[in-house]
Amino acid sequence: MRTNFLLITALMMLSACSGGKKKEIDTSKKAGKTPVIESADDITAHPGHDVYTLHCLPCHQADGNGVPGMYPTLHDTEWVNGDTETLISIVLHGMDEEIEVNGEVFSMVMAPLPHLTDLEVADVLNYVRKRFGTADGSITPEQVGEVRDEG
Amino acid sequence: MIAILFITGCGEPENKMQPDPENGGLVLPEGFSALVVADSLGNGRHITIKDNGDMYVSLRRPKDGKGAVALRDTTGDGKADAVSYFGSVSGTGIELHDGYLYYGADSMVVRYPFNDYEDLLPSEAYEIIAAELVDQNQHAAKPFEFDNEGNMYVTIGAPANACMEQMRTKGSPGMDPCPILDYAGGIWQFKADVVGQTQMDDGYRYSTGIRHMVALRWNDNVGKLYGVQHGRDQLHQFYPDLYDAVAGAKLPSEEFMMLDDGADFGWPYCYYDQLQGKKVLAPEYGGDGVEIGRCSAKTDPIMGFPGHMAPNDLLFYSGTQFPEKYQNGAFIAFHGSWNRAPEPQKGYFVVFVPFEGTQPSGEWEIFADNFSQQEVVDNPGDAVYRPCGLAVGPDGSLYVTDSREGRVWRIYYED
Repeated sequence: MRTNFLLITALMMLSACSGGKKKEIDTSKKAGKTPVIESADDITAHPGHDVYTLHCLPCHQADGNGVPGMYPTLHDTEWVNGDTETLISIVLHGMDEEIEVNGEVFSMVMAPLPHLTDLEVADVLNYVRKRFGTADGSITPEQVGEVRDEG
Repeated sequence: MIAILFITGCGEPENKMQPDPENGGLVLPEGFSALVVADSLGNGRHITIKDNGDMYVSLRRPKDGKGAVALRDTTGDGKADAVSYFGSVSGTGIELHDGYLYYGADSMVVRYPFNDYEDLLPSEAYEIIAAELVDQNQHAAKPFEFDNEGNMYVTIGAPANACMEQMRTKGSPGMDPCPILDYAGGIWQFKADVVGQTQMDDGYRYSTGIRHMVALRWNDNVGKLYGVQHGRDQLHQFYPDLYDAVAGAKLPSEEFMMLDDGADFGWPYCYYDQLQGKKVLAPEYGGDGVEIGRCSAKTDPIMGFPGHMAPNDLLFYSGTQFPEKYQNGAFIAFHGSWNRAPEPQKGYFVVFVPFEGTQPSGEWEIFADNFSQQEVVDNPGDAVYRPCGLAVGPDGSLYVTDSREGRVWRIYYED
């Protein structure tokens, strides 16, 4: 009897969770075509995953936590969640100044990645924003092109 | 022996050193124990110890506005019971010399005088010994060392990975000649006791072709300077056709160097491949992983460690407490890698290298392990501790600092 009760509770909780996620999917569909990353399979299937693995993972690491004292985390930071133009510009032009991320100061150089296509930049940023951040909506290749043209 | 038993029997261990449970998290060779001297100090870097046992640890980032911390054990149990933060500059290098405490901030080396050398804290006012040191974010740490002839040697790390035209950018060729070598990427010599020197006016480039060297130590037994280089990153990311992910994790070697006046170790043009046992041309300069080219004229290391393990301190064991095997040998703290991903990371341990005269006399072996508290470190952020600084205390104990939590261990040997 008790087991049944637990099972039912668990099922109720599960459905509550999936309800929440459904809502997220709807939002993202409205905003663009970026899928929400929910599982390990989704992670590897996302078009930004391979770009991340080759160009971002060496410093920011597979788990996105970076390297203490050297490379900042990508999880839940205003840099990832905030202004998309700034974020695109950091990827295209790199960064060579001291920054503070979640209370920790970092001064290592972020390599510029101008050789990535507009689509690759959009894909990888959408991947990072969905997997490590809380940002809604998506970045389009056109937005990347505009920032690139600004120089 | 009876007296020791008696004291122990009376339950008064507070004035006798006791190893911490599990040796404070470390795995050590048989006969060695460790206790935690201090904990949660901040981002601990290097450490230096007075003859009276007082300890000084540099901090990479200031804690409450202070860049160093002094530790004293007043009860003889090995634990620091006096902990005092001091000093307005933060950095890496720290060493007692000639009655002063020298300190390496990223842009200068300063020294703090003591009102009384037996005091725990030095004066807050420092003198600037060497100023205007190259400080451009990357490899800015300034470790330093002294010889016995009045000279000070300072690492001026290259603010670059491989001197590419565009910093750390795939496809960008290496600058040839590399202009960085004029002002960085080597060891600069200064006068140890002259105030107000600058790198450009007073510094002498003693050795070159060194990307970055946090582990730098004078070997009194042979009167020579040694160091262990932080080798270049990203061979696989920039040249996936030449280096697969496994090769990019193993290469290049972290080179253990004997630094003679005028020596050139080849960065950025060359790197040491410990698997082939030779220096080869870097891909940014046309290398294919095998070709030697101009690298035949560069100085080889005395030992090649696996890649990316980040050697952050070196010392030659001068105490008599450890067994004979360790006498005059080298200990090296490997801070632990980040550029082996997606392969597992490596390092996060202290190794021992036996020495005979100026050269290693055997293979390196892990001495103190398990700093990370992980079976396998996939992400550097998972490592609980990272060994960074080394010093020998007056009784011959080996002290190790940690850069993450700011733990300090004292490792000692008992028959």
